[in-house]
Amino acid sequence: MTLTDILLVIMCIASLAGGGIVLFASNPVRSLLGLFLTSLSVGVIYLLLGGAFVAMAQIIVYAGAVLMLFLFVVRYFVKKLPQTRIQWQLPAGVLAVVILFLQVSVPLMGWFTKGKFAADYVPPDPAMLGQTIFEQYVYPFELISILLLVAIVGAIYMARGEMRSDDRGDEE
Amino acid sequence: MIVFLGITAMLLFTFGIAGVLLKRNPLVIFMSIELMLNAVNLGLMIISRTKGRVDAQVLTIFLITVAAAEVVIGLGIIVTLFSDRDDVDVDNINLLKG
Repeated sequence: MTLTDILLVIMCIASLAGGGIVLFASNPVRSLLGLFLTSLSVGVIYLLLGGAFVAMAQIIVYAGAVLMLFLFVVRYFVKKLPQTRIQWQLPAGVLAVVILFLQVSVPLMGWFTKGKFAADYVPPDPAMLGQTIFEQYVYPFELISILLLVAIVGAIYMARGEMRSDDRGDEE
Repeated sequence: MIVFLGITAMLLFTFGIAGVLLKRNPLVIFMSIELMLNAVNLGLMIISRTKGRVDAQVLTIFLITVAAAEVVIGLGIIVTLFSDRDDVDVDNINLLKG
């Protein structure tokens, strides 16, 4: 076992612990901190797997922007948390989770046990990544730019919804 | 090592599924969706490392971007839905109920 392997194992355990915190914490802020732990350790796993640029994108976008947005909304909702629970939700949910886990793991497990790290692997530098994006994947890249534009417009529209009806009321 | 990483990705995905199915708070449900997206990204990075290809990393970057856009829209919908209520419970959202 090399140093990379040991670090990978530690980061895998950390990300699983974060997932467990998201699932089992009763306070949403703690769930958020669990998601933060998961995002950071998954980012470190990317780094160890040779994706430095993806790791930076993961840490900046996920652990930075997305979780900060989540934190604002969680703190904005200082409301009473749901207390009720449908009676059959827990057993039915656990059963569904077990079945779905088997559906995910049974087909993939064979591939994961047979798979090996590529022997002559050169970690791609950002230049190579950019070349692939802008030569081979220009079309999806442009589609994603349109998607981001739609998301911006949609977010502004939803945020302004109530304010606009108030303005109209004042004018009339 | 690949097996360990793969099991991590699968378990993270399962945690996400469990959160969506069992949690009651819409924000925690949304965090669980993010957890599933992280698990899928991790799987893609494992594939990139085993096949030695850069395509999977490009796809991961695209997925991170899509996830960011999805978070903006999803949180906007949640804030709009629950802003005039005094509790956060997904079971009280029954506007489409006939």
